[in-house]
Amino acid sequence: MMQERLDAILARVQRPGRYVGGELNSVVKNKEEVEVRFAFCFPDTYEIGMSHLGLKILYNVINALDYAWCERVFAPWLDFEKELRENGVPLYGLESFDPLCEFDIIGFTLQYELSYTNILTMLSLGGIPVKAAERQDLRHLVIAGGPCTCNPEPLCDFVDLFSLGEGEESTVEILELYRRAKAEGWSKEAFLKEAVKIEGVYVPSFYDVSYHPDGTIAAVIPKNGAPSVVKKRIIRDFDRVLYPEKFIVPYVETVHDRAVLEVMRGCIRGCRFCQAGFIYRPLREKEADTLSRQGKSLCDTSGYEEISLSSLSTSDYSHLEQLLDHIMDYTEEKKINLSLPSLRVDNFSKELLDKINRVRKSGLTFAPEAGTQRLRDVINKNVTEEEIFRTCAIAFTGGHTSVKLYFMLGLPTETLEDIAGIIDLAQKIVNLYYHLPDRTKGKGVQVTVSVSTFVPKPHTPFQWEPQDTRETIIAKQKHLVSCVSSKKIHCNWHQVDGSVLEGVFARGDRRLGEVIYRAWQKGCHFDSWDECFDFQKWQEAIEECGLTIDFYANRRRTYEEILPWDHIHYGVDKAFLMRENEKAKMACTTPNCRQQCAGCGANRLVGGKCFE
Amino acid sequence: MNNMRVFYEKKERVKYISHLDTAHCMQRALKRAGLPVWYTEGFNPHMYLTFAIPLALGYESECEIMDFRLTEDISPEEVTERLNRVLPPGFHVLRTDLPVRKPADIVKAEYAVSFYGDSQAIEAQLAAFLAQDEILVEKKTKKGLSVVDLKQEILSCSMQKQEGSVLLQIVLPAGISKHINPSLLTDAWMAQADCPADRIAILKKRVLCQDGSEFI
Repeated sequence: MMQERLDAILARVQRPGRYVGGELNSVVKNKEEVEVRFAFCFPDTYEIGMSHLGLKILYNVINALDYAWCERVFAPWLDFEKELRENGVPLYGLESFDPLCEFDIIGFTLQYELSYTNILTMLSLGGIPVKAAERQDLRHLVIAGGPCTCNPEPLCDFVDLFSLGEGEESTVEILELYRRAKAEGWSKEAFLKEAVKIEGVYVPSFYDVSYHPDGTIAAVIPKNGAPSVVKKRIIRDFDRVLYPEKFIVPYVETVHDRAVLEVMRGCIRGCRFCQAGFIYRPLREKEADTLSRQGKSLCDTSGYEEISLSSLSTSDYSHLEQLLDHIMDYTEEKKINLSLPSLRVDNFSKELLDKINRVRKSGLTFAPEAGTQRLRDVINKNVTEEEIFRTCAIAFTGGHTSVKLYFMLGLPTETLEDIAGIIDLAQKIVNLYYHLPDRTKGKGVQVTVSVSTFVPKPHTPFQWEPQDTRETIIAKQKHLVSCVSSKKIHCNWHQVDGSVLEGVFARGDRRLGEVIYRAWQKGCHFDSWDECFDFQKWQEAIEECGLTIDFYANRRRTYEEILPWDHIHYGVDKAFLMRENEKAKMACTTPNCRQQCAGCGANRLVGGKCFE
Repeated sequence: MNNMRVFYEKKERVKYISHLDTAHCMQRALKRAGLPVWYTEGFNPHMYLTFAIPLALGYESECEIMDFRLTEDISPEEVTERLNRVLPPGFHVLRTDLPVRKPADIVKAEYAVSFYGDSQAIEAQLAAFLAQDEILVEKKTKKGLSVVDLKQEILSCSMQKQEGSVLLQIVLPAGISKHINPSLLTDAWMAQADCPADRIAILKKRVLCQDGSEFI
């Protein structure tokens, strides 16, 4: 019945293939035989959601349980959403076509702040009340995980339970408890009271937040036996954690349509702007043998033409050479491309480049992040100009004629000289190319400078810093472009307003729930898409709630202030973040974790020692 | 080098998979099947597949045709069997053969078009629609819009009333030189005022050569 109703609609929408499921390796179970039905919801399009490794991992973890069935749900694109509403067809799981309201647990992954309104869209299209307080039964439990749960406060009105940190184990524990609660007919409150005993589970309705007259937080008081500080979950034995042997192979081309190996979790570097570098601590690696076994399995079962080594900094992987030797014999024989994103300039070798070039030449991208050594020291990006030149020289000698460089604008202590330094660095790379005797003959060089706007994030040393205002960033972007004097240098940058809003939600508190609700009611959705983003509506919503952008984004916070996420612990101590903030002000760097332990506190998560 | 011609079905959900995505899906299936398909040489080697006629998005088909070359001796039966073991639901290989005719020999195709709804009303309206002296529709071509009289293009056509639907069997020009999709006809009919059909399903049944024989 559902399929027939859909048939008429699908004929009229763009790329209907993303709404019909049925892909190779997707899991179909008999719904009569499962006790818990889980909808894994990604609040963006299919193409983006299906590129996400976390989805593949948890889909596999949940479907490995015989009593549970995990299906996928993505945000419908505008044309399909309109058709669903006009025809009264509810949003559904791609495996069964059953409406979202027939699922027990609705789980969202929070990958970026600008996807929040899509959560409301998906719930409402699925026939589920968007506000947690309006869902009184155990049924339709709305949970969320992913990096943005390190400050989940803006979503407290909508989500019943947050799963902090890595989900392979805690998701199973939550499902196990739910299964019991459902069988025994518990109330939602009884379930939540029991759930807070699971490590990594945060139930926002069990915390009362009060505010000072100036809008800062006065106190966060737990109740119902909830812990005063909730700690993230972590996988101790990362080498042996459950990893999919098969990936779903989409029909419709997705953003990252390839096999992925997760070589490490965490990062040793401690770049002070990088949230991922702190919230995934400490570093854990997989064995090279494990990875090459998993890689072969993924390629054999998918037919993929590309495999990617994924981590925050793949060239820091201890067994990289060994892994490449193992896996490249296989990938070459099967004509599979190997891609290595996230390489650093300070340990990039000719041997590594030769290995990458054996299969296919792809673009090279490096991230100096800042234009001068002083500012790179402020952000603890321990990379020198010499290392950048050395790497570019290797790349150019190896036949490459273009490089892409990532930078940020708006970093703490940044001056106009630092911005001019970005172009200066790019120009020096152009000059370097023409001075190399063995560059590719008869070809020009292309240096692409890609700048994003710095957004201070929770659980980083810059969590107290003011974000540059919209006007300042626009002025800085203009200055950057005015410094370019060569046609060999291309600059591209993002629109500012999205970063402003991202800054508000990244460090926001519970009062922003009403802002999200109002903005959504005004029609805000797909806010990370330029063609959908409507900053005016957001400004209206913020104003209607008596709040300001300045309070959340542009204000310097004191060390004494209670931050909205202070009761959420990701393993890194606040005292460490303060020390790092002070060192940043003095442009003083911190060695990476392998060189010397900086005492961040995350070692406690793995029982005392990060490295053997 | 052995040329192979695979005849396959594309049905149910996968009718929403575009031609390009279908080609991609077949490449991956051939890879999973471990068949030694010939790759193009050059800067960016890729599996060399050709499809006789692209199928429109939303159509089901019982007569899709894909050609490729194998670098080793493998029987057509084995190709069929190995592909069917790894193809996702909705795709099914009917048979594999050595190619006989060239894709350019295809000139027409037969479709089964099902109109769902009040079959009495549909039959009456459809009969009247098809009985017109001319059926003028706009067709998008590379050069822009052109007007086509579908009445002149219908090579054969028969109607059959069923429970809750009407089945139209229709043969239209297909192939490189001239291609008329049945949607041109169904869209024109559906666009009429108070059309009694709720939805339409199109199934491509056969591809034919000039003499009316099936393409092999």
